[in-house]
Amino acid sequence: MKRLTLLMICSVLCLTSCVEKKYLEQIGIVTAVGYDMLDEEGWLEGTHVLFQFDPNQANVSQIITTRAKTAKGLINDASLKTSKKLASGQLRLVLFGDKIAKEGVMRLLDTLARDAEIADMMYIAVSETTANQVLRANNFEDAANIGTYLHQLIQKNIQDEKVPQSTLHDFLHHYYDRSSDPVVPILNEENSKPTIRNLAVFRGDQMVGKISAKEGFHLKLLKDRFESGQLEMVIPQEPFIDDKESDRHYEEVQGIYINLGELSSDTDIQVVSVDNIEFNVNINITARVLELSEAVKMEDDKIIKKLEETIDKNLEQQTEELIQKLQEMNSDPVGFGLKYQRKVGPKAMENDKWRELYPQMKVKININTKILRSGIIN
Amino acid sequence: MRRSRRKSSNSSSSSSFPYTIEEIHQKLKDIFHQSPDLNMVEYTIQQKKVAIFYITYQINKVQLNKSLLPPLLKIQQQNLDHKVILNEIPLGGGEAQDNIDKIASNLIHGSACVYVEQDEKALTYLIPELEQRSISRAENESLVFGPQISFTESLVSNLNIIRWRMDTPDLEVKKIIVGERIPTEVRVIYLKSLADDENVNTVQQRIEELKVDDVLDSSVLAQLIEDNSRSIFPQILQTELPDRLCYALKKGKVGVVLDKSPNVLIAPSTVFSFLETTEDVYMRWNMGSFARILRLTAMVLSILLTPAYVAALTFHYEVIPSSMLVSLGQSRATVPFPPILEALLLEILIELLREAGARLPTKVGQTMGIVGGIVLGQAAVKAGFTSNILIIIVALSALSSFTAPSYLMGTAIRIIRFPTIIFAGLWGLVGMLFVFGFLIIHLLRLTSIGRPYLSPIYPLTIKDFNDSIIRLPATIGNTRPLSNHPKDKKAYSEKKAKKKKDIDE
Repeated sequence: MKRLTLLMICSVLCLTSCVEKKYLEQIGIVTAVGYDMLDEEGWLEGTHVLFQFDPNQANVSQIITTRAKTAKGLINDASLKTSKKLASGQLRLVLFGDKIAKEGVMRLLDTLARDAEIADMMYIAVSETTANQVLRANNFEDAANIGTYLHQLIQKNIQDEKVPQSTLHDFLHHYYDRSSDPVVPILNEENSKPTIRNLAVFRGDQMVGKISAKEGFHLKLLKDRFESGQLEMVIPQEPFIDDKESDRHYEEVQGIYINLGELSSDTDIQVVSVDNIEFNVNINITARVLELSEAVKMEDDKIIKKLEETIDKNLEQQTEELIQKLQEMNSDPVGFGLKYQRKVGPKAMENDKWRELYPQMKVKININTKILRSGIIN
Repeated sequence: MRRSRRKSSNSSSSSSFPYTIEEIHQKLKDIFHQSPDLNMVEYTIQQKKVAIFYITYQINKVQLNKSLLPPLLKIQQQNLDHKVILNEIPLGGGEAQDNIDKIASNLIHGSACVYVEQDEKALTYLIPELEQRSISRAENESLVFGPQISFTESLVSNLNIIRWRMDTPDLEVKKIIVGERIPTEVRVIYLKSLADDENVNTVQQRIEELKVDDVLDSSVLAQLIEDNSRSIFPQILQTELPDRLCYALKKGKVGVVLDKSPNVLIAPSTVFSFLETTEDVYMRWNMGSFARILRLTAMVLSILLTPAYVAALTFHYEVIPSSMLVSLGQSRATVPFPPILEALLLEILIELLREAGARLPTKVGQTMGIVGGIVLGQAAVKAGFTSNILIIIVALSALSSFTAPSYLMGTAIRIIRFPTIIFAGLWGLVGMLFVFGFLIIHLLRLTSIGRPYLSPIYPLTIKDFNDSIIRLPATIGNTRPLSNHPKDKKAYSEKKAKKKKDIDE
């Protein structure tokens, strides 16, 4: 009992100032932060989107724009402009301006990554123009502020398998991994509402190009597996429609638009030849036909088989195009390097050797689609 | 003082039986300190003076007037003495006494004393009038479903109920007298073929070795024989339900019945037995399991919710889900106090409400609920005293603590909340962990008459999970709780329980 009392008194006396008290109503909770490079040498512009609670005001969101030369300096500068203590424990999104993304984001991300307060699961995105412009957009649906809206926007699209995972954790993983590169969504402002159109492809921490969200599908096909994806494509009408049986005139039709749903896939990347850097990619896809722009006889097994083959060919071609594009950017978001490294050992990959080999890589893609059902949907 | 005087009268009286009527009257009057309640009636039967002493309110007048007096007055025999009277009066419970103190004590317990002048001995007839409440429905441990009968303050009727419920010679009852100044009868009851001898001996020994003036109630007795008197947790279960006692006895536990107390003690008890009701047994196993897990979660929530609120709002804004952030922040923004004060204020408000409701007469008590619950709660939020989210949290945790079937356990849980809130306000989650660590260590070390309090979690006895934390259908759980160390571990054969004897088989 005596010992316990002593322990209590000691802890009460010694530990009182250990933890900083942060009363919820007294802090400005930063939910999103944007970084832009200013034209003047070395200056950064930070845009902090924060919650601040004021019982007399319905609007709980505030945006503070600051200038400094480091990320923490931006926060310091921001605290001069608000009565609230700024806290980034609820940070959900970091948005980089186009310029800073091209120069390299690691100088800023490193501070965030080492801050224990900041969650690894926050999203990273790049702005089409400047981060400030996107964060100042005033149409954010029913979300509490732009930060929450952007977070929900990206989260939903990742769950819908339309955008690859782009959390801080993933970004750092791909960055530090010498043989793969990060991909994050690009936000652009349309009618003062941020939307996702493209994906930013990085080489290391520098943005080297963009691919469309549609091409993102092929990227995910290579990199990941689909569980319930969706795909739209055009196929030639030639073998599928019998002119005589139909009452429409098909001369005018350019192609058949097909929409596949509940698409699941699994991918197997194999190194065929180490010396020639040759890869074989086998992708199995199962999907359901949701929509066809023209009437196709789905009852016929032969037609279905044809359809599957056409889809295969189409996908193979598009995916090869994407790989070519990525090779031109010299960025490897798929992680071919990782497979290669497994074959040759980590030593062979040192000193960015993979960057020299990557453009010469040859990939043979073999896609095998299986159409499961075409009847009642959902 | 009183004792010494009695001793002196004791020594003088033993020497001088026989008495005259006046002498014995004087003696008894001395012992009762000239009490006006000591009555004496004098008759002359067969030329001999006969006196009858009694305490007015302790004896049954009907019995006195019908069974004692008429035969006494009709005695025709010569040489009237105590032997003749004992022989002639058709009333059981007659005893010849030659000790004046013993007579006095018998008078207190409801005897009438018949004394023939100059006789060697006096007669006492036990014709007591016991005031007791009739058996009624259980008030404190109310049930929706199942037997409603509850114990009363009378040991006799309690034992009567127990015997009626468990009519087996296997039920062993041991009598112990507790209290040096005001002796009270205690009965230790158990099933001989099941209850562990060590448990029985521990209970018996602890009661026998008590040196107290008196025992006010069985809850006091429980406090006296508990393993750890400093703990906030009750270690011996008290119940007013006969079916609950019998259910416990059937599992090999030991019961203690105390005279003048409507509660019966059950030992050894685990922390989980305080969260059980017999209703769980009466309901189907899945419903019973649900109710038990619900109660267990309620207890955890009750301790956890308010401190978690305080910790999150003081230190850990990171853990608040972003969907709740805005509403929490907006409601907090008007509150002038730090979260810890706000929470303590509201918790104390609830405690005051409960206490006031319990102390007030029933009729006013209902108004209290309305005044406290609706008016105060509303006004507190309107005035910006507390955030409305905290009102929900505090109400929820208060409600949770009231789900504990044992009033003592519910109170313990409610009180534990206060140090947890304070620690949460001081050090956040670290402080909460500190309190929980402390609680867990304390519970681990606690015993109930030498048996682990946290069983079956520690020591881990998977088989005992049945009927403590959950309930299983009869075809699965066939063992009696092993933590009670029953002599016969299997309640029935599992094979036979699984066999179906349908007509078409």
